[in-house]
Amino acid sequence: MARIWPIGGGKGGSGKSLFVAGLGSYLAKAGKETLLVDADLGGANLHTVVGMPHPARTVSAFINREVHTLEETIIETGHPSLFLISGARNSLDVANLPYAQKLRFLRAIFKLPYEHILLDLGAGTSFNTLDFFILSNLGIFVTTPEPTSIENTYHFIRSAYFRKIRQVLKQTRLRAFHHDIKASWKTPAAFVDMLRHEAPERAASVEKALSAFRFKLVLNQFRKHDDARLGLQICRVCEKHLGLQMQFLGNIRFDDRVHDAVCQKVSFVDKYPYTQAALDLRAISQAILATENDQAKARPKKVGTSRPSR
Amino acid sequence: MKPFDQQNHYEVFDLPPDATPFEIRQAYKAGVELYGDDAMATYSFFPESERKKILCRLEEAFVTLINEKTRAEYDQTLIRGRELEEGIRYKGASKKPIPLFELKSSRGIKHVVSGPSKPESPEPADTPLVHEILAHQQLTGNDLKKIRTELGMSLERIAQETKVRIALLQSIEEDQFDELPSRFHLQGFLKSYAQCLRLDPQAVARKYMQRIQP
Repeated sequence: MARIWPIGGGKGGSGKSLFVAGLGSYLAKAGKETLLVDADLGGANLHTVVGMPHPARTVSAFINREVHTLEETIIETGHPSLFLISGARNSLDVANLPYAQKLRFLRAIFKLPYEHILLDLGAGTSFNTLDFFILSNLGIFVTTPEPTSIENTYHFIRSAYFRKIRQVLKQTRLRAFHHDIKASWKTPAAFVDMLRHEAPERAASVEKALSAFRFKLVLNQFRKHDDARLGLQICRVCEKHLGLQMQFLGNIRFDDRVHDAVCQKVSFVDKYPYTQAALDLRAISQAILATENDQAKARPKKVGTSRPSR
Repeated sequence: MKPFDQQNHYEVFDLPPDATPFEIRQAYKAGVELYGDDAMATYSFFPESERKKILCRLEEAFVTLINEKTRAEYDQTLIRGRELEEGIRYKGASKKPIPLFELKSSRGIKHVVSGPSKPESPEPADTPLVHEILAHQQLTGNDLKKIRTELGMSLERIAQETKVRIALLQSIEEDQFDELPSRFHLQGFLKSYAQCLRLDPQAVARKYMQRIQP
């Protein structure tokens, strides 16, 4: 069963695509079958940072029904275990995917036979982006230690939080609370609190859905004088005030050579494997693999009953 | 998890009910850093009024818990509200200041040494280097230093355990015989030094003293 890691974070330029490329590369090197999906539908460029400047096929072939399955849009990269679905570049409508198309795309992602699937999301908090992000409970936030980036990340977390609540409430056919969501935007905890009084059984299902999240946080472009405690503090705030579990994966050091690698259109971790930034990325990939082992241990194996969880 | 505004003073700080005043002070400091005016981690997370409210909440919790009397009263209200059991309440046991070295020492050292008066377990620490050095007929100050660093023991820690001045211990390790006290006292110091490292005190003192014949 594939483990799907949506990678988002609100602000553009925080290094999501580079993080996806680097992480994917290390997971593939650890022998895991890894697929990178460029889910930044309006601004695809993951193929460039992976070192594949001219992808032969893109996801638009699937969305425009030129091919029947999503598998047909997968292209091989230089590494035997690393694969890529490149984002669309040549179509106006793909950026604003209609709901039905989006569902078809999401369902197709679930069926792909890989160990790890990394979804590179675009900036902003559009519904498409949010729905990709809450597709799995393993969302990773990439942010930089700057107020602008942190502000957007909190906005993104809040949006994902309420999108999930909305999703759960919709499933239980409870639309009455939608305007309350708008009112309690600034204090999300107050909303769940209110729900607890108004409709305890609904609150239980909402809380269950929210507590199933296992978010991760990465601080990218970390400069020498930045506060090393910041990552843990952000996780603590989210846990204490939103009730969201969030694990801090680590800081990635700022490196000017990232820019060089992008300009040369090659993969950064292959070009500069011994820079601090690459080593930080490797440590994070190991932390991610370690969580996999934890869960494998915690979950008793049931043969034949495994299904992708929603 | 309880919502933040329903948490009691301990939960606000994520502290156990038997936290020491030292821990409370640390938690308060961390809290002010987290919710303070310049804090990046909570930037834009709360509306301004909400953040100020949280800061007041921290202040209130800190002021209550840091004072022994108000803390005891607060604990009693928690016990009445069945949020706390009498057994796990902080009793304010130690009036003594917490020794600085106690905080710095890592766990690895703790089980090697647990105090100067521990005659049980006389066998020397088991590393090949220590064995080799102890096999010598005589011990130099440098030998002692090697054993000490091998066992990961700091001079400060020994000074603290044995109540012997650091300067004097240094003189012992550097073989500065002029600086050392009388034979009788020196022997005593060597024994407590050895005890601190869980070595055989008699043997260490004898082997060292042999070099200062009469």
